[in-house]
Amino acid sequence: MKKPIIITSLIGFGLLLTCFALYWFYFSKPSPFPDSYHLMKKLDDSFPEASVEKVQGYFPMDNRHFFVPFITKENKYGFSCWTWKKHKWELTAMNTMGEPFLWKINERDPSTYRIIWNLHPNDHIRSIRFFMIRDRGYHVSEGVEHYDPKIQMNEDTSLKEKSYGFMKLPKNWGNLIRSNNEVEIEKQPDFFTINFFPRTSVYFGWIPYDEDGKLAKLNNSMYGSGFGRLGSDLEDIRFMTGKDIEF
Amino acid sequence: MIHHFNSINILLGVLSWLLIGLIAIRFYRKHPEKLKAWKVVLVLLLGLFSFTININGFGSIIRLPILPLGVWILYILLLKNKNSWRKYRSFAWIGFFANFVFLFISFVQIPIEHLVYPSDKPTTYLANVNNASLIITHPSGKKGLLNKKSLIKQLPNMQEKKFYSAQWYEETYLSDKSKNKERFPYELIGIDPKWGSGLSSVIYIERNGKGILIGTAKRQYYFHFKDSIIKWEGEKQ
Repeated sequence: MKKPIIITSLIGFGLLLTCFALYWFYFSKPSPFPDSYHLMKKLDDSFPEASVEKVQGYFPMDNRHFFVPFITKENKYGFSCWTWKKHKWELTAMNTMGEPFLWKINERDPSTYRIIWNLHPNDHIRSIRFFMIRDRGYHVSEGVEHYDPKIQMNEDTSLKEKSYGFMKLPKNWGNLIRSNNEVEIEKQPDFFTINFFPRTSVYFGWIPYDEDGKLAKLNNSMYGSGFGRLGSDLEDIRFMTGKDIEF
Repeated sequence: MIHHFNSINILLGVLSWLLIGLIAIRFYRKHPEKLKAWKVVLVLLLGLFSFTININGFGSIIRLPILPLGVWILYILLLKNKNSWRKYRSFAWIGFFANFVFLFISFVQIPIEHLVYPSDKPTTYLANVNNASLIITHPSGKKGLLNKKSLIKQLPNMQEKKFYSAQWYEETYLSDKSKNKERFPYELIGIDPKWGSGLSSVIYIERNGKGILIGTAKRQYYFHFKDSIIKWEGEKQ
């Protein structure tokens, strides 16, 4: 009669331990974000080649994600992304060149997407026009016609005195991405192999302007040497020219 | 996404299982010996396992079960226990034939779905337009608002029209080179399909407000109609 009791209590204890471990690793509330000194240390430890000189600040995207722009000893302006993961603040992306990137915090929810940047002041960028584009296309298969209208939407932002910045996606952009996504998910035939992040044909672009409203020259923000580790959450934002834009 | 489930699928699924369950219960009751219910369920589920071949028919691929693998596995497992095999084997066969029930139901499902949720009628995809609004998706689209009254009035009578995608594609580039006008510079959001249809769609509106292109998981449908469903800025009502 004793054996079953011992076994059940062992199993019960094991389950409790597993639940606690799962909670601790994945669901625990974040501890306070490290201060600039500790951020610098962590950046130096992970990427000594970046030679970070100064952390410009740290900005929450939500309570588990922070954007930390920095300046390097070589006077490069870059940024880093931090995520609360497995019970610690992890450096999930960094780049010593701060041209705009799209941070998809939760890929399935466009309202969590953030455009982040840290542009060198010597490029004298006063404003940026961001684009969301889906190219026009068509195809016919077995007599069934398909036409993709061109989508080209833009949102302007002005740089307020600071080299760095971040921005949520306009609400309509998110609505578009979501509605497109729903149809893409439905196209998949088998529930068991379903991919909830289907590849979208939508991409993002940017055009920087100087104080005269002319195209800014990006000698420092884009060209030159730099490096980064982008991780899987960051998506490219393409540098566009007048030729790429319609109307 | 919560409301995007297929009610017919679920209903017919439940009916199929109910039927199989009833057959199993009948066999269970008629059997002279006392059988363990949980064993019956397990054997039934095992019997479902079968080898299927894909054949082309009726416009799609049919998965036809031809080898009752589950039944054979059970036989091998119970080689040493001929008594158990004798008691429970009919349930394994019921499990195998359940595959055919599902197959038959899947045939029946298609005409039922077409009746309740006709895929070629815009009312299936635009069942609820109360929260609908327009987004301008291309700079060549003039500013305007959705004219819900006009949309609701014309929806039931819209007729599908054939289109040529290549032609539409070329049009943009043949006209004024400096300003590329998009034929569908608007998208409609905030619409709901018919409840229980599980059919999501992307809906584009033509630049003159007199046409819509509905993109579904299966294909696109183009509808053209008389009155514009867009109220342009500065226009007299």
